[in-house]
Amino acid sequence: MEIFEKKLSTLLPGQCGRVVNCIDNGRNIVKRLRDLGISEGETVKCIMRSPLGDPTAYLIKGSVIALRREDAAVVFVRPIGGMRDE
Amino acid sequence: MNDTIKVALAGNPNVGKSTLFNSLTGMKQHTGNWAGKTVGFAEGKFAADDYEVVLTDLPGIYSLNCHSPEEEVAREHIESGRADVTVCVCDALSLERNLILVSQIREITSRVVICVNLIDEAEKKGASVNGELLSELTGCPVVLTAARQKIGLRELKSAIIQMFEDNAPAEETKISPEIAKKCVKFQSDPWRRDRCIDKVLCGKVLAFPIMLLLLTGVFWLTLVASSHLSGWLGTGLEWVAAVIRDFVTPLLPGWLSSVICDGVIATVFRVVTVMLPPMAVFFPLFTLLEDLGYLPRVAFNLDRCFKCSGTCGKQSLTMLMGLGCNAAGVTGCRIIDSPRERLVAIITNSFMPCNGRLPLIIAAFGCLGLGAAGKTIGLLLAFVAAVVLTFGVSKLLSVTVLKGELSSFTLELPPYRTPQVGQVLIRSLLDRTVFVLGRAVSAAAPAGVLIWLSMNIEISGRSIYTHLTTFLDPVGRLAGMDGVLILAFLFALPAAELMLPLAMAGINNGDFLSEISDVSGAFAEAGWSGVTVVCIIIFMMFHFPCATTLMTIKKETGSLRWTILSALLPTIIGYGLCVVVNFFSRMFF
Repeated sequence: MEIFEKKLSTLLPGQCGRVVNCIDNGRNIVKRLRDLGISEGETVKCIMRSPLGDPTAYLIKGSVIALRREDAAVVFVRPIGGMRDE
Repeated sequence: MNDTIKVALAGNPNVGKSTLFNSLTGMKQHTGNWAGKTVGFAEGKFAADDYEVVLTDLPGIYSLNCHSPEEEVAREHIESGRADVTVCVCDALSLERNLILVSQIREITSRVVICVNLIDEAEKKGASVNGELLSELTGCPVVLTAARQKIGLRELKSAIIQMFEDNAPAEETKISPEIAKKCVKFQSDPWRRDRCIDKVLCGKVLAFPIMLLLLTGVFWLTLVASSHLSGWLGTGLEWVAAVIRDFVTPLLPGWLSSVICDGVIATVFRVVTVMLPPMAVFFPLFTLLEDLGYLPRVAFNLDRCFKCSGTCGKQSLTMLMGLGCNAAGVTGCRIIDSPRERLVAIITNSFMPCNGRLPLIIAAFGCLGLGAAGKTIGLLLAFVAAVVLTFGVSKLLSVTVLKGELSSFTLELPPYRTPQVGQVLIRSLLDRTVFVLGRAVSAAAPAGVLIWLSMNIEISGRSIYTHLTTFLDPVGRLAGMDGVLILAFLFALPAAELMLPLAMAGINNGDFLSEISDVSGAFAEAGWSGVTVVCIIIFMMFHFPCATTLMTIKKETGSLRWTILSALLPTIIGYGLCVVVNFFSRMFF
């Protein structure tokens, strides 16, 4: 089975991913994301993009959180489930 | 006599802490369906058994890691032991996320009561919470509540008292958020309905038309309803003013009754007539949208524009708050984490016309001979201009004096909630009415006296008022206005809503009582042209914020420099626009 990781920001609406790791880009975002529930092993679902294309809303631990592209890019996920494109 | 129990309410943003606080204390803290509504502390009391419970409503936070001032304040409050018992309020639907904070609080203090709120909403969405299991797994007492329906409050009170009386130290348990999965069972996808609504409200096609439509609707309703209310109120108050005059005149010396009737009462009544109706309509409508959970969606839709101007999407929330009151908007800027982006939001907040100015702008549009539709379009244009200028100035600030990198941005989109229509209407109406009346009396009355004095004290044959207006006349003329108007703007520094009433007093030259409500009549009398009215509208939109807002800016930024910049920037821009409009109108007409 091929295992591949991609950035959270590249998930399409409707897709889910399991968080593999977060790499801090020096903007102190990782701690903040952890407080919101993004930590290793957590399942995150991409819900929708803003009408202007950025930010994107994700379902995390039962809440919907919007993240800008560059902030979501620090999170690496392994896509799970179907690749539905809603 | 009674013992006092100090209780802190902690929890994630938008889990209903303030609603719970209100239900417990019977107080009327303003609540709204978005993260960050409560920025300061609120304190209230209630009696339970033989105790007096002092309740502190802490701002909503995601963690105790001190990213933002709120988190620091909340952490400090819990750590300092100022609370005997800490109630951690959680949302049943996002319990797992909420438990991250609970576990952090539990590391500081063992005297924790977990309150799973919004249990009614969870049930409606097909989720069931097992409180006993949660209590067993966390080692904390657990109470299930629905604060809006006042369910579970008695149980919560007794849990607090029990925790207070129980001196035995609780056993150490490390709370792992994963246990939420065992305690909350979902029957179906609880967010299906919300996602459907989101697809429309934040969809590519409809998001912006709906935003514009809602805004138009709110403005139109405000205009139509308030013009009727304004008429009735004006007639009523004119009658009251006449009664007071008849009553006061025989009792007091002439000059004093003149100060009271022509100065104080006329100014106060004029402010109330112009201010109250638009506020009484606009505020409930706005509060409904707020309760529904629409405002964070606006921030979501518009974030890209804010990103382009180097600021934070949450600025749109503070701008919307600024529509109500700029001082509140400035305080609200605390929801923005990055200090640089917060400063930009604070400085640009007064570009949004607050509710003190909106009614005057509406009245001024009336002077242009526009109907309800024309006024609505005019208001929309004014609003769009305000937003565009906010973006422009924000960009300008973030490439010049407030240079810096974009900070990270996280925004929670809360579940939609059915607003409590009745309560919203009554609350926002009553609160606003009291507020407007209070402010009218406290700011308009002294201003009324001041302007009466300046008109009636003479230096070298002319009143002080005439001296001042003559001196300011060239400044006004350059920008399409005149000395009377500029002076009215200056006199209205304590409260922007005074500007038109003061200008009308100036036109009638002290004859305050004639036709309190007839703004356009007064304008025609003064011989002001359409260009003047347009310039008044522009300068009303963009000039120095009122004294309260300036003091709030000083308090929030702690710097006189930024306060002065916040006053100068809109004044220069507004004045500049007026000069340009005046120049071109002279060239073409």
